[in-house]
Amino acid sequence: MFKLVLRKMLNNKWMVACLLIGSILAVAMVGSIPMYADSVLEEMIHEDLYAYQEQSEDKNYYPAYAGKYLVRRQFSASAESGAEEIEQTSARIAGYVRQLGLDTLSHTTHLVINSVTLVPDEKSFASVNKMTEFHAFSGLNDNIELLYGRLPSSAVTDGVLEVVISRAAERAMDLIMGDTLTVKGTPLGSAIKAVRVVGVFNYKDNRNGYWYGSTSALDKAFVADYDAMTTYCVEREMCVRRVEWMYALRYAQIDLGNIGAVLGTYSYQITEMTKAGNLTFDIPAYNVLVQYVSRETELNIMLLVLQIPILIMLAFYIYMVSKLIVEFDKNEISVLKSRGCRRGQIFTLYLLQSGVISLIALLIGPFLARAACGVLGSSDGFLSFGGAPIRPAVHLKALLYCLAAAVLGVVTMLVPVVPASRTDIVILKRKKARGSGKPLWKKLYLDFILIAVSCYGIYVYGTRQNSVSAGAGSTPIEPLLYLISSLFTLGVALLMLRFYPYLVNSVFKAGEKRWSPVMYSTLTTVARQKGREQFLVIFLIFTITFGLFSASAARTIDKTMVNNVNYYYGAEYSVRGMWYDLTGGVTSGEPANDSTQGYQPLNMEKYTSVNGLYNATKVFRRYGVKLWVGSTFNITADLIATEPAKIYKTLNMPTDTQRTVTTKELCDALAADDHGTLISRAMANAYGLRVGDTFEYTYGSLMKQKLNVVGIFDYWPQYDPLSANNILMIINYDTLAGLANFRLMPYEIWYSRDKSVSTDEIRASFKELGLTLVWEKDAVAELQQRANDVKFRGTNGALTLGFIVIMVVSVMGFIIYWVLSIKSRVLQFGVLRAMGLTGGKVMRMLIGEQIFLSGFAIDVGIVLGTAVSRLFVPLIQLAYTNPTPPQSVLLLAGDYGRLFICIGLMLGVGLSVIGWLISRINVTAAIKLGEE
Amino acid sequence: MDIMSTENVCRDFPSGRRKVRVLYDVSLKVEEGSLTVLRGRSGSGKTTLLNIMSGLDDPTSGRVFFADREFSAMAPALRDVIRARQMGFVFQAVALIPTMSAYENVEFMLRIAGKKADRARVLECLDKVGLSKRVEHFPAELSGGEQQRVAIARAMVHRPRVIFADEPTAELDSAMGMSVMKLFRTAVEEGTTVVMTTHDTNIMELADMIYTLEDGRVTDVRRGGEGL
Ligand SMILES: Nc1ncnc2c1ncn2[C@@H]1O[C@H](COP(=O)(O)OP(=O)(O)OP(=O)(O)O)[C@@H](O)[C@H]1O
Ligand SMILES: [Mg+2]
Repeated sequence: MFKLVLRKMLNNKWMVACLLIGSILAVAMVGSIPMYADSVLEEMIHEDLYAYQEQSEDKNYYPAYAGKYLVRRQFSASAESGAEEIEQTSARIAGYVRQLGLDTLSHTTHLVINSVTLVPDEKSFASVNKMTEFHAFSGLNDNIELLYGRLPSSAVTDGVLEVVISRAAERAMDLIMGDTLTVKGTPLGSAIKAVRVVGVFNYKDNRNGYWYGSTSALDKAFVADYDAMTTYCVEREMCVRRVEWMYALRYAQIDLGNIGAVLGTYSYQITEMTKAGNLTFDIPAYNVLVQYVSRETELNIMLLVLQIPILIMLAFYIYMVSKLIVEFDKNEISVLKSRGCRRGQIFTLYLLQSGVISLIALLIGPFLARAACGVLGSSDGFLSFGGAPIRPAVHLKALLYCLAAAVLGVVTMLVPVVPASRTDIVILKRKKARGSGKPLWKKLYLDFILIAVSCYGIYVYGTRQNSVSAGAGSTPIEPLLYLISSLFTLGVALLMLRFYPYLVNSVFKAGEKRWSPVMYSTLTTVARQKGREQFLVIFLIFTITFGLFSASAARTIDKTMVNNVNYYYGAEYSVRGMWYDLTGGVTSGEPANDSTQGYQPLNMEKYTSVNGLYNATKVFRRYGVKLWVGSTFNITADLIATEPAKIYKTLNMPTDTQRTVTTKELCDALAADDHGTLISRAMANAYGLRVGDTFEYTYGSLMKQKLNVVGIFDYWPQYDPLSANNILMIINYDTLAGLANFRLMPYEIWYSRDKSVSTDEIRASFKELGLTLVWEKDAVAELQQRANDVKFRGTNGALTLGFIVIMVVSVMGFIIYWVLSIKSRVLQFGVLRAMGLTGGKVMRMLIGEQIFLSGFAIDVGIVLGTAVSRLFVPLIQLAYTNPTPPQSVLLLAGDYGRLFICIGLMLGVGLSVIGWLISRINVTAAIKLGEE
Repeated sequence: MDIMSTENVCRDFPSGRRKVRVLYDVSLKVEEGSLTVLRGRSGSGKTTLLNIMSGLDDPTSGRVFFADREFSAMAPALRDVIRARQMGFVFQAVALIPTMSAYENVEFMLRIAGKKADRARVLECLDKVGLSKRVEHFPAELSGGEQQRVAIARAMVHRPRVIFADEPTAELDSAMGMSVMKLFRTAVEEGTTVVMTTHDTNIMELADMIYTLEDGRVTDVRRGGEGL
């Protein structure tokens, strides 16, 4: 039996090879999804955790550690059983940490003792007369380095407790080594009467998370020996105020395999600790991981959906090739049957064949999947591979996915076998003679159904979009939309196929008398042939449509992302400096809206001389400004005061998006009129304001001011026309600042940026100039970060990968079609040659067929691809990013070019194969072929 | 006058590593305007000889003449033209173009021969083979015999000098076979030369010349009507 299978496969070796390639591709595509997702996600867990760490980094101290597991417990002074409870809690937390199963990088139990009033002895200049805290850390000795002195002893001799102090504390408290201070009363227990400084230390950075928080608490405190503290202050007299148990866990051990378990344990422990009531905790990784899990699901869904159209095509391809093989084998099947072979046996034969194919696919597929992940990961744009490659491991989950794909492949391959194994030779002959009637999809009106379903989909999506309005963020509808677009493409392609014969027929009829034999034969063949060529046409249409669609979707999403960032950042770089109020106080937050407090002027000279930044422009915002428009009053608006001549250069708005005038014209108009204002379209519509109208405004202690409307804008950085606060006006800052009752208040500074200067250099420059910033916004860095986003990379990668696979499948489909078409018509060509048609003419006839079929498919593909892009990309784009202002769909000439190169290659290969086959046709042998 | 002749034609076919000789020194003459029959058992080499005579195949040795010119000396393109204009073929395998109707199949021959698509002539030929009611049918919609008759109409439509027919009557019942033979006979009366193969003894009375092939050798030559 097995021998028979192998012999059969060898007989059909080319077809089997095509089937094998299709199966390998399918397995690889499916396998690449979890492989890519997992490797990226694994990277992402650590990146997320690391990002947390970076973002919370306090540059002056040691980093907040993402693997921190910190539990605190406060004690009241009177607690009797303190020591025992500390003991118990310690054990409990140690147990919790064990449960998590992560390595501990460092651990400390941190005791904070009651504040103590100390009196310095006469010799000392110490300024310690306030309350001072005592701290003790277990494991301290390994994590500090002594600048001078020695480590404190664990014993208290003569009532003197030895302590060390940090470098900062040494300065802050004016203490020197050897200073002794008397403890007032017995807050540290009866045994301790005085404290002596025996050493000064620096924090040792072991990069183990030991110094887990800000160390500023130790800037004015003493650090005693942990054992001494435990013995004298905790066990004998309960004078501990707070205990902190800190474990720095190795978060790099959290991976996809254990993330579920770790999260579960975390959440269980959090509930338990919350229940206990007296414990507080700080486990930053928990929230990061929770967020991560939702991102994981999102990524998996997205990848799957982006690949579904390709998988459908692959399934379609496998089905078609398998069907062709079965058709080729039909005679053999009939013979087998007449020899008494049962249906089950024939089925088993094919089952074995597809089993062998799938097994080979399963062996090769995972490695190809690994390579595909490289494409997915390194893609930083459509058909562009600038990113870092990913080399994921082939793990069990991916193998299971591959296995599932292989099994599905077997099923797909067997579908056409069932009807074939049923037919016997009589039915077969009759079928052959009569032609096999209408294909199923035509009978079912599948084309109309698909188009109807996808139109309904667009409609539903459209209505949802309106209700959701802007800011859809990352709702999981966009994958659905992508599916709808594929269905739509398939529907239209089928519809075209339904009408195609009529089209060719009308061409045929138009010149029936005039056609040369070549043209005549070509047209009749193309118009009347049923079956296989549909496979080809669908393939080509799908390839081109999908190619164009993928390209424009990827390009538009990329561009929209860039536009969004630019729109929301306004300028390439913007900062809000530290402002000092008139009493010298520092303000980092924004002053209250009704605040009338004034501020000291900012040193603009310094702000304009930052390295790498230029065009410094003031942008002052004020919310809830009062307006009088005609007889209407009590209107509130938001106000931006800026320098119009400069802001135009600083603005980094996508493309000019104003509807009627350019942004430059608006800025010029504002610059030309000191009392001019630009108002939002919404404001103009709400109060019937037009250019040339005037209205009045005031805020704070300002007198009513008259403004002339000099322009109406549709878009302004950060302005969202759909939001509730869309009444916005822009005025001249200098005019505002010159008003009598004007109070200077914090404003932002927007800059243009010299791209050759790095963010770090800019930051350094601010520091050098002595400028402290409350915040800084760096659009370039944000863009980089977004481009590196997994979802973004995954989208581009999946679109690219899909495009490549579809191309490969199409080329194969194309060649299979032609090889079979020629093989099945060898007799006909032989007859034509015998009748005196030259070999060249037969070739021209086939090229003509090719042009009619492929040419038609390519035309439809281009039109459909462009249409589908225009129809669906805006919707997809909306789902990916918040498109304010709207970005039109991008179809780059370069992408058309690349597509045409691929298609040209495909046709070229196809034609060469045809030429080769034709040249091998032997007329007499061909005629002989038909003799049986 | 002879329109074609063969001189010591041999034909070898490779069979595995060896060669098998299918035709041995076949020499024969075909008179213009005659009906020549090649008869013999299955495998005797009839089709092979017919292919060589019509220039579709080349002999391993020996020479073939058509209208006093040697085929092997002609350019392939010229042979194609001669086949298109001066020859008509009926193949042993029914070889109609499946995507063309009966009418179109016949008319297509006119186009290949470089003649005008003459509807009346096409219909006339189809009528001669008794298919005036099957004009718009496609090959798949015709019986085997009907398909063969379309092929015969196609072989005659462009008024070739020679019609080569390889077992044209094999698919037909005896009455139909007879009427096809009569058709060929009429064509011969009109000046066309017909060369056909058959193993049907009944129809040979209508032949002018009968060559009998046995294992690749001409073993018997006789005039039609002389009896066997
Ligand atoms: N292309 C070929 N290669 C090898 N052998 C061939 C080839 N063509 C014909 N033969 C052999 O030549 C011999 C004669 O074949 P041919 O087709 O001429 O016979 P035939 O007389 O036409 O038979 P039938 O009446 O069955 O059609 C046969 O034995 C056949 O096997
Ligand atoms: Mg024969």
